[in-house]
Amino acid sequence: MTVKRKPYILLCIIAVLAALLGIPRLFSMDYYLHIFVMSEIYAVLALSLSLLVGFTGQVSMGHAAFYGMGAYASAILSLRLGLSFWVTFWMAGLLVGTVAYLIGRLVLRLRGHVLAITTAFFCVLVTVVMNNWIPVTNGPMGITGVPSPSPFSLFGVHAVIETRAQYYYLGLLFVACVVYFLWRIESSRIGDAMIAVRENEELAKSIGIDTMKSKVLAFTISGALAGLAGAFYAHYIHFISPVTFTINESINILVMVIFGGMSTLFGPILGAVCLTILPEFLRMAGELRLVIYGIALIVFIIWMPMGIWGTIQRILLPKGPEKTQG
Amino acid sequence: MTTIFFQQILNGVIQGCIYALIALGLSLVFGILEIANFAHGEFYMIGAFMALFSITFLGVPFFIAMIIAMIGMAFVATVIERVVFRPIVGKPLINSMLLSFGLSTALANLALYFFKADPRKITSGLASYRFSFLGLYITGERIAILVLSVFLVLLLAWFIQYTRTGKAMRAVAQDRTAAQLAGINIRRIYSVTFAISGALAAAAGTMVGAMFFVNPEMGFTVVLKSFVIVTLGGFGKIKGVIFAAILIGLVESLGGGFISYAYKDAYPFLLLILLFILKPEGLAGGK
Amino acid sequence: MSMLRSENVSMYFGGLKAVENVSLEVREGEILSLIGPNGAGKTTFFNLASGFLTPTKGHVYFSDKEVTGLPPHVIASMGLVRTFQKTNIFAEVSVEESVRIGFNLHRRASLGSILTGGRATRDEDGRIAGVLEELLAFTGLADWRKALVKNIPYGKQRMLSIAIALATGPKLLMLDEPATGLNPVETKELIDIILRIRGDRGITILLIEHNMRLVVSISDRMAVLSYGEKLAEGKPDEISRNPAVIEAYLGKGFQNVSQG
Repeated sequence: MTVKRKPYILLCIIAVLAALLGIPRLFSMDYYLHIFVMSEIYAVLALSLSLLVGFTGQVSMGHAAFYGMGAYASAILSLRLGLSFWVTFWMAGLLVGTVAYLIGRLVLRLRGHVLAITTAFFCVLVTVVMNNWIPVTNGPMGITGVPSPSPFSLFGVHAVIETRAQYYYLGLLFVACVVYFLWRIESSRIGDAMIAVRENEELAKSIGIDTMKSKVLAFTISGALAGLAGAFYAHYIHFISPVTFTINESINILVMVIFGGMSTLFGPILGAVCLTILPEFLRMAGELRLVIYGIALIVFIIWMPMGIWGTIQRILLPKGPEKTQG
Repeated sequence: MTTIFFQQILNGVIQGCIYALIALGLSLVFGILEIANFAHGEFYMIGAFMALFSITFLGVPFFIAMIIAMIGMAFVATVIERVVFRPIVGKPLINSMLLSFGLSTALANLALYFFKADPRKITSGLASYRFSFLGLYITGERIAILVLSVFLVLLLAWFIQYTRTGKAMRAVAQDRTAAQLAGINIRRIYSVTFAISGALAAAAGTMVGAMFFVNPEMGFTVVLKSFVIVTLGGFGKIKGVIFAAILIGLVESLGGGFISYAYKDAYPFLLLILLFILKPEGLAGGK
Repeated sequence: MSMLRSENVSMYFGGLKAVENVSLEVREGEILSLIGPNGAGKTTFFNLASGFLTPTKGHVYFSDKEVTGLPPHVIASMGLVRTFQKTNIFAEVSVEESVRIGFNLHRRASLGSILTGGRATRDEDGRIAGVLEELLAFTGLADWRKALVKNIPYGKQRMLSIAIALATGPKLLMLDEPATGLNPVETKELIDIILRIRGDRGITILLIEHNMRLVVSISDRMAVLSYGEKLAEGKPDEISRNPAVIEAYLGKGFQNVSQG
């Protein structure tokens, strides 16, 4: 990076940060803020899915199942055991992560489309359980009255999470932490191993990479993060029901990941934000929303499989040698 | 008790034959184009609707409606292959999975939008004929379906084995490049394969529409089961898929009859998972 | 010291005999070439030694430790790394990234250190960056470092697989037909590099090759496989005069033809 570019990049970062922090000021209407908070939740969902699908190359149609499990876990724990969100959030993540680990160990020996349908079935199975395990999940009626995060004191300042703006900032922190976490993982040897698994499993094994371990790790982390997003969702909307966590939602998240760019860090965020805001304009489409999603997926796979951000990145990559050959 | 058992066996076999029609189409597409088509269930569903509308609006009898559906769906499948799938042949499998998933969502919801979710029935006019032998009951409709599906499967097997196109299809499934070097028109084979898969799915859809009902969401569970069948039977292997389909039909029927009808759709998957636990090195099949 | 040793290794696929009763030894520091007509079982032997196949019968030892039946990544982590006959690449990443993936075995920084970006991770990454530079230069790939692997020329891709294998820091490198598809210039570069891998880095080499000029010019010893069985093992000039070997390659009636 030449000296001239560095301050420019820094300026951009500061501008973006300022914009992000200032959003509740600019868009004070509840409706708009709600969309932003949902974008944050979807950003985490898309980021976590991209670790599994984009980075490690394993197709999972079950992401909504982990999202839903996290929501239900946190809701049930806080309502039945009277625990605060700040505790149940992490418990939900741990719980869902453990389930993801166990399912992953079992299911990740499968490849390609077999893995896809198995995870699709898993997603459907979880929905069936949500709808039928009435004593625990209250069935199709869902769970109401999920409490907000309890007030806390930080550095002597008393803080509450009640208004949408406050949820927005909490969500921003959440996304930032997830982004940092995934950035560190993806640029480490763990990330390298996952890329190797995606690109060429046979070659990866021949150079000492335990491919199964990488796949399970990706599956576990992505599932746990989805569970955390679910917990956040539950305590934000204060109501959860099985219809939110169907396989259609899995597809929804997948489209966001594809749209934005599967194997980049920024791509899924872009996809999540665009595809959360866009449908609001498609309100009138109503039932045709899913048709448009389906067509969007088709179009993107054919023309831009790397997604918007991925394609942009690819254009900037050199194709030939940098110096002239001797 | 034993009569119920054999009754369920009979039902299971008929169900299995129908599954065979669907799964064979899927297996062919995978074997020849190396594409996982999740929208195959929608071919089945659209075929069923084509038959339904043929009977309702054109007033044709059941068999003619099925033929119309088969030809119609073959045509639609060819168009879909050309427009949607051709661009991604040769790309990694994940592309076709996601793409066909999108296609499946689009088609199913389009049908939902236009036709609404209420189930409808295809009347075959044969359901009223009831036969019983050895204490087992069967309707004329089911006999016709059994005969038809067996006929179609045999027709397919003959086609693949003995006709020039069939042999060309087998060649492409074995080695695409070699087949091209041998002068086979790959694009035509792709279209024919999709057409066949569409026609068979439409036939199956018509049959199920007559036996049970037709609705826009019928494709989803069916395609998942079909993938289970093709996984068990082997991608691109006809005999294996037929056996697996009958097996799944039996498992569903016996499980639904003796264990619980509500979870009928879950049994094929439980079978898959069970087999997988018992034989972790992988199941029969693969190219 | 024996680097790799197979004892009566056999591989049957159903009724098909791919490899039968092959006992072979690769000594530390040597370059041994495995030759034989097509279908002789050479690549199968590689697969057996590196864990991609489990022998139906027999044992494989690496550095005198039994590795029969161990999974490939475990054997690789012990120091036995192989390349492939077909070009196996990480297509959608850059050349540089590709080689860095090879260093995975040597990156041991803990998760905590990774997440905090702590000293351990930074030191490790720094060290690896240095070795990476050196490897890229060694294999002549430095100019191509940022290019996507799928876009670089075939010959460079073949060299890249050797670079990746070297990144793992192997004790024994098994190369499966590394000269396939290379032009004479590239073949000469390959010969130089193989000799330097053994000479400068002290890595033992087991090589499958059809290019006889290459084989004869660099091998300390050779072993010949035919129809899954070992026909002969020894120095190149002994092998070239061995009648069974000549017959395997050229058929009966060519006993008196001398090798070039």
